[in-house]
Amino acid sequence: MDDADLIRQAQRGDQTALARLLQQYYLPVKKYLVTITFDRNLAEDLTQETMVRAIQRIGQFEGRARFSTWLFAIATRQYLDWLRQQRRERQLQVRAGEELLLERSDLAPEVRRLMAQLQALPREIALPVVLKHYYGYTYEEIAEWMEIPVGTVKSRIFNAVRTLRKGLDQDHA
Amino acid sequence: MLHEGLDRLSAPVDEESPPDLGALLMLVHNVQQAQRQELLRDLMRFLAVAALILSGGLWAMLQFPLYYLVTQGVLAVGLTIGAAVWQTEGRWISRE
Repeated sequence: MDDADLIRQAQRGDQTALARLLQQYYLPVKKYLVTITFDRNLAEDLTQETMVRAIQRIGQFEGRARFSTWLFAIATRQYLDWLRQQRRERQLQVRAGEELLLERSDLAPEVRRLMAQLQALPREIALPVVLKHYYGYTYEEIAEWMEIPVGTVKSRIFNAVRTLRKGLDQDHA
Repeated sequence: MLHEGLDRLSAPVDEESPPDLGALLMLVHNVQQAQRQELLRDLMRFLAVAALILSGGLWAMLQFPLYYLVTQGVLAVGLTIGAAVWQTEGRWISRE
């Protein structure tokens, strides 16, 4: 049974079809969240919240985008909500665990430096960079997901890339 | 470089297994049940408020029929004038 059949059945109220669909996309969503949050524990929490939202909104999926894109959009909004909540509570800080993960890995030094710089950027700035340059989403899609104007997305990405380039050049010098 | 770094960061997820179907089925069941209960609560709240407003209107009509009819008339005329003004303004703006 393919995705389209599972989605149709899930929208008709078939709980097993919906559970199968979520099982199939659980790890892709988690992987996506790891790449935008840089934090595996947070990604796990947000994946579960994304699944709950997907269950609540399955009836609203219109099939205009791929199902994975629809889930990634929900996951992105969950992450942005989390960021807003953290800012309200003034608790946002880079988690030490993920820094260690990169420290231990056998990545080339310049890749490790790039990742460190990316993680050091404010999250709302790093997010569009990853969505554009890693996932290849359009400015319009990113703007819609982040609920900000397209111009803001473009300027955030432009400034972030410039900052990252400058940082790498300084490290080389 | 970005691809290499993010691939490496997310690589451990590839070695994980998704939750089992039973657990997800339970989650789907619980979330949908909670959603149905929430909808039912909303419907009950709506019906209660509607019943309150209707019974208030009914009580006013029986107690003070004249005032009630005058108020109804004023409301109807006021709304009609308001709608007409709103429509006309819309047309003027669209002509400009």
